Amino acid sequence: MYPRAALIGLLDSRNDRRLQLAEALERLGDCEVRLIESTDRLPERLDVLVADSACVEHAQWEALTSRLPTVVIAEQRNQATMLAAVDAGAVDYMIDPLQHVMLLHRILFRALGQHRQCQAAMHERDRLEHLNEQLETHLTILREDLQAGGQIQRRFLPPQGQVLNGVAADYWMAPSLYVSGDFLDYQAHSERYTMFCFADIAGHGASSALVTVLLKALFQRWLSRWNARAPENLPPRWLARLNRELLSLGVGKHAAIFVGVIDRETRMLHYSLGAQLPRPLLKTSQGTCVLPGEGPAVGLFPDIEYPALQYPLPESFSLWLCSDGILDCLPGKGLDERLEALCQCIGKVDTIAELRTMLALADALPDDLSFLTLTGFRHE
Amino acid sequence: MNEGRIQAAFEEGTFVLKLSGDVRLTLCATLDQQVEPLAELPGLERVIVDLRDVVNMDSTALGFLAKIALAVRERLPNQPLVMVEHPDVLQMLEVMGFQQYVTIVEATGSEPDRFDELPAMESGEEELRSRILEAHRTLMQMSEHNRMEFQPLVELLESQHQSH
Repeated sequence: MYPRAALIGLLDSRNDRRLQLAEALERLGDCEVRLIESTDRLPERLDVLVADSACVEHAQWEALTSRLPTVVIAEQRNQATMLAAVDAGAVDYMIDPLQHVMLLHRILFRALGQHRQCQAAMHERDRLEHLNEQLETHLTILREDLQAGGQIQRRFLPPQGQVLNGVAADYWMAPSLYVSGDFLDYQAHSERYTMFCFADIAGHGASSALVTVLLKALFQRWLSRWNARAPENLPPRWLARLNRELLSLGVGKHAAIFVGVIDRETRMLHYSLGAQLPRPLLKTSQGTCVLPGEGPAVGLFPDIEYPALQYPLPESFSLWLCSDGILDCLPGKGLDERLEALCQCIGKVDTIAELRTMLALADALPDDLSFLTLTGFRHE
Repeated sequence: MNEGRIQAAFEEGTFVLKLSGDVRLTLCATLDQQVEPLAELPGLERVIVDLRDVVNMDSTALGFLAKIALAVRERLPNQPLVMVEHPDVLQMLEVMGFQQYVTIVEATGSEPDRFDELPAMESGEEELRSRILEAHRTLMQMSEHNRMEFQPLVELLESQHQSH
């Protein structure tokens, strides 16, 4: 039942009774009784105390009961004495203990059991508090780490509100956690081309955000090496390369992606895309339409050829790209209904800010959410 | 919210993966390690993925299916069979570019005799039909008993899924 026999302290004013009581208790088993001469000198390692009310001053009870579970014994019922002991924290009392040894034995063991449970609970609470503090500390470190990551990720983004070769770019990014698995970039190349890219790495959080860093580095390198020839080949070639890069890395990450090059001279959009959903929307004076074409996700299937697509741009247009996080924020039951709702919304607004207001986007998002708009050529 | 669920069974050469509900494996980066052992299952002859009870899947879950399709591509005579009912799920598969790597079957209802009403396929219609019937039988027999056969994957998938 317990690792060792319970050690019972017996403080009894009556010399004729105390030996008998001690022996009787020990006979009932599982315990050893120590006779105590004075409340000032309690032996070490006592588990429970039996104290004669005649030995203890009223004021002394508290010092005893705070140390050990204490049972009061008395020869006769004396209300005031008992009350003082019980008020001070004695767990039980017994009149004429020699006549009720078995009962006293039970009471002592019950008191001891409760005391041990209490101590175990306190010990457990201390342990949990300590663990909680550790957890809080770790959480804070992780949060600060991710926040720092998020700050760096935002530094990778192009400056807001730029006009590049007649095309104005605007965007908004909201990570569902601290860092985003969405990626976007746009840059001018010479006086003629505007290159842009919009990608959503599968999943979100740190693992996907790390892949966005790779995308940034690759595009930066590829763009700096582009010789400004055959812009129609650039998007499909980049997608095929990126597909190979992601597969060869073997990190198991894939992405939905759109890469486009706008040629200012011919007013042509050259583009290629993989698994982009919602599909890019083009808004002109004729209305809002879905940009045609499709391709598989990058980083999933080997040896993919991506389509080289073209779309002539009118005098005035705006191109809207949204990551699939938007699908969680649109009204409608099915995918088609939601995509239709998005098309309707974009038909009614001119800026991302207006779209966000219209959709009443909440702060806590289930997925990363990003928008990119490219508007031209009215800035010429 | 329709909690997502993943079940797997392996019996008589057929591996069945059944997904249901809203399957989101967003923060799960270790699933890929389970794909190879699956493809190397001794006696594996065909793979069937049952998505008929799926209402939504995230891109990580879709990617996992794609990796299964790729892993068994060289080893099996037939592409994995993917059964779909919900039009949104079908659209997601198509957008991702699954058509080349799996055989997508739009199956409605789950009564075995309803499988006879499947739309005609361009080739190997009979063979496909018998595969689907077989798949259905396997799904019907998915019990605790044969789930044990592939417990590691099931446990992994389910624990990964609950932890997101």
